[in-house]
Amino acid sequence: MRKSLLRTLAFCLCASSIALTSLTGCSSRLGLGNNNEKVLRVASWGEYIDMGGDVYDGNDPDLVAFRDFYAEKFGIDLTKSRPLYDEFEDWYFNQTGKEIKVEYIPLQDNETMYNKIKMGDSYDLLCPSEYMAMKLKAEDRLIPFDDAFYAAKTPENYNYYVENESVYTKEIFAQTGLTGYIAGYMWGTTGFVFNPEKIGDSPEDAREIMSSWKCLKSTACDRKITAKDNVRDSYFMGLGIYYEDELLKLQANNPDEYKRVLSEWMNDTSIDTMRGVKKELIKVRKNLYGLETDEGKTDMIMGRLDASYQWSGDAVFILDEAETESDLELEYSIPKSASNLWFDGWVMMEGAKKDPAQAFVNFLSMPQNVIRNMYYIGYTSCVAGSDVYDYVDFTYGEEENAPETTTYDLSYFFGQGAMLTTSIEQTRRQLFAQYPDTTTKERLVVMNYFDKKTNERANRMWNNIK
Amino acid sequence: MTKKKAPPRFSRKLLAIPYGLFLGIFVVIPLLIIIYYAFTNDEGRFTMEYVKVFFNEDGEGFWAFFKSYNFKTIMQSLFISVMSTIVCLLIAYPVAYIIAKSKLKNKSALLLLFIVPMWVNFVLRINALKELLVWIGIFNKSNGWNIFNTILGMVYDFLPFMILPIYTTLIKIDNSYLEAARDLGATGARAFVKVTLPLSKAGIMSGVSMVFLPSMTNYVVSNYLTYRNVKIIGKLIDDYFTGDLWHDGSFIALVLLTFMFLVTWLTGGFKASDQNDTRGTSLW
Repeated sequence: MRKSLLRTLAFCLCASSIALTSLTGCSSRLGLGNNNEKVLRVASWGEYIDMGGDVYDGNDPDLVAFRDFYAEKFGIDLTKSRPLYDEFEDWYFNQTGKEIKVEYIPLQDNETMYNKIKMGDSYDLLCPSEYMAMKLKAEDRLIPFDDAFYAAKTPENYNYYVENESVYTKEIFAQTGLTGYIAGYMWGTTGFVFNPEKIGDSPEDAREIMSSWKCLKSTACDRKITAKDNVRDSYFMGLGIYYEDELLKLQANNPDEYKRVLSEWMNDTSIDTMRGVKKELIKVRKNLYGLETDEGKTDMIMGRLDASYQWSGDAVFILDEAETESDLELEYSIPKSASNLWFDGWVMMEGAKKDPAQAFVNFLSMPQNVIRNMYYIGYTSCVAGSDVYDYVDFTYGEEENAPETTTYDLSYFFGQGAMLTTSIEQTRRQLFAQYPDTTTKERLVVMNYFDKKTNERANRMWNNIK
Repeated sequence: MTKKKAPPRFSRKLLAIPYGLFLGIFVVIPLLIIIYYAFTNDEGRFTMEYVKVFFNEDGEGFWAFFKSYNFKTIMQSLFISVMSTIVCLLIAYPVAYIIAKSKLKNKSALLLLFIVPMWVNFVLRINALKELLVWIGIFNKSNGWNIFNTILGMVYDFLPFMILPIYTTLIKIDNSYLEAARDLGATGARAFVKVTLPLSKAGIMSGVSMVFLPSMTNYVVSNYLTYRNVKIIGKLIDDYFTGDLWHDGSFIALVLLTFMFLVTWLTGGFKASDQNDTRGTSLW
């Protein structure tokens, strides 16, 4: 009896080891993944690139208006468009005479991407968030873009990225030490989407409450608000509460000092601070309606939830949909003391096919494609330029002398003269979510990646209270 | 007369090779990897750090473990699993019994009624259940309701796994046993307790392990139905893996495995061959 069990076990082990060696043998001979010269492997997120075609079919007035705007500007009929990665294949062939096939791989999140890379998957182009890009760079997994990629745009080359990259995001990449390794794709803030009618006593009251991190633990939001189910956003929330009073004091009394400490404090992961943050997060956790990764969007749109911590791009989507689906006028707020600035950008891994990869980035940075992506995804592109400004004006602009309008300064992003006339309402809604105003922009902090030990501490802390 | 020995062409044992391969690649090797990760650090050296961290998260001594979140999660998880199993059993046994005893010619059509829902994607079903709970008004109302809803979701998901094995054992019971019991003076209830129930034990046991074990880990149910306010052990493991803490996650996976081992042992899953086996009753 026992003998036969042993034999079975030994047999299993032998069989599996044979299978494994033959599998690895295969993969090294065939080169699973990346050796095919004609395939560009692009790893990004789901619904993070315009799919064309069906997207633009329909009679919705907003859609029709956009289609007309686009046709007038670029002379292209969007209903005949295809997914951008498919269109890239033809474009690349026209430009270089070389054939390429894009394999677009949507991944779930940065952590999944990292685990895949760690397990040995390789891609030509990846679209991680800032912290993951920093982590990958720190681990020497990235290669820089070519000098030619940064050369000025001439009729002979297709350097659309360099031509239109926003000065604002360019400066932020420099702060993170990613210059040369990253080409920006989308960027934004984090903040609260909320229903001003459902929180506090009046809309003004609601706005006041939601402009503080403390709303997360306030009775006004008791079991009305959700947060994100991930350690980084949660830790940032906790830090926001932890440092809020001191930061606000500095902001009022000593703006220079505020500027100096902002990034340092909002990236503080020392053991003492983490203990303080933990205390705050325990209170927050008791006050929350729940944690979510995606469900919050639907429930905000349906009006079941009154407030939710969201990324700006998702906020735009929620605000749009809530208006059309449930007739709700939601708003977006960014805490006054400090908030998070994030971006997703294209990076290349060791062994990447540089030419088509860089061409792909440039293709996506062509104004007509930037606008398509922004329309489809709802996020804000790192690419500026006059065409993109026209699109923003088309979406949010108002007649100059219309009632209830104001001037919204976008010059930090689009360059001098970009003063948009827009409705006052929009300065609290989609436009504000897409492009923060000049005062808010000074309060934004890029959150660094956690190193190994910090990551361990932060995860254990958060997993132990959530 | 000497018979020529047949050349060793194809023996039935060869048919076991695919299963052996499967077992090796998808069970044995991953298990070894989990054990390896649970007891080594990043440099690949042996360490008990992750055991210590699990039982002694805040460095407050071993007894603090019983107040810790990990302990609470495990207990909550166990409670949900036990309750789901009991509820499943209470619903499944009568259903299986009624189907098995029905005079209908085509019993499988009846059975199909319970299996067809399984053809609908289960995330979809759980989402639909969520909508229903919202409509009734008990979705994420309080912690108690959350646990109730989780159990409800688990039962909804795993009920067919309980019905099927019980049904298969029940239809295999030879009716003459029952007739004999009645002839010897047993009442219907007594015959059921003395004959039917013991003979269907194998089915109950496989049903129990089919429901109990997955409901410890199926965190999709608890995530969707409670806005992540109820955490079960599967979610705990997932959290550590997404946080890039593979060693911690692996150790908790081992804790979970211990539970599974215990349950399998208690339900007699390791007992090699009952006489029932020859009749194919322990289907699962």
